[in-house]
Amino acid sequence: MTGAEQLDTMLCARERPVYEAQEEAAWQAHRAEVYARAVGIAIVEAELAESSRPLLRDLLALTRHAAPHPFDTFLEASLLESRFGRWLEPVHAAARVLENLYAKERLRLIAALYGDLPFLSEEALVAAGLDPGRAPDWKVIHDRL
Amino acid sequence: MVSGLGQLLEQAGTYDAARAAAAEAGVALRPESKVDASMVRVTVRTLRALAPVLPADAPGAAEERASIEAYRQALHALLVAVVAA
Repeated sequence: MTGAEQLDTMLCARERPVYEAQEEAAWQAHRAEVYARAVGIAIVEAELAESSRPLLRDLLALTRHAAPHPFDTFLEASLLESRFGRWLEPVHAAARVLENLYAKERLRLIAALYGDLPFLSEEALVAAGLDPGRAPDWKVIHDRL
Repeated sequence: MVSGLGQLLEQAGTYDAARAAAAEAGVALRPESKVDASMVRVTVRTLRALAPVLPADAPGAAEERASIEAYRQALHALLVAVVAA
């Protein structure tokens, strides 16, 4: 995984938490900020920079967006899969094509905004300020909510 | 048949309306079930959420439009499979 992919993963998890869990979004936002601080970029400050605003606006719109899928946050997915699997295969494939396209575009925007970014190991993230041994850290989460 | 009927079912929106629209179009209907109703609901919801998000001048904009259309067709085929025999 590259640094751009690492940041992309964090931003997407922040903007699109599983089952819309606020706690997960808060924790991923914290991780993204720790990463940004460690590699010397400022995501929030960049939002205020006039020169980078259009790119950043596009990036944030893309991280909030995913190819919508029939089973997103749908708890009976396995039941529907077993019943309609034959017709769902092309649906899954088409959704993947769209999602891959958006991932490629997000990485292009991250490179345009921040250049080459380093990948940080879990240890490096801990050294940069993640509370060691406590992930997710509930104090961080509740402070953010 | 899939394209036209899929569009019709998408516009119908609900399972009951989709079945009525299909019957009116002369399509033989599958036996109904609550699972099918869920499938129609989530598929229509997905179809209605499909919209381009890339700026028109982005390198991938044309590819995005083509991918969305392919996705829409796959979802239409799914809708037809759920409703039609």
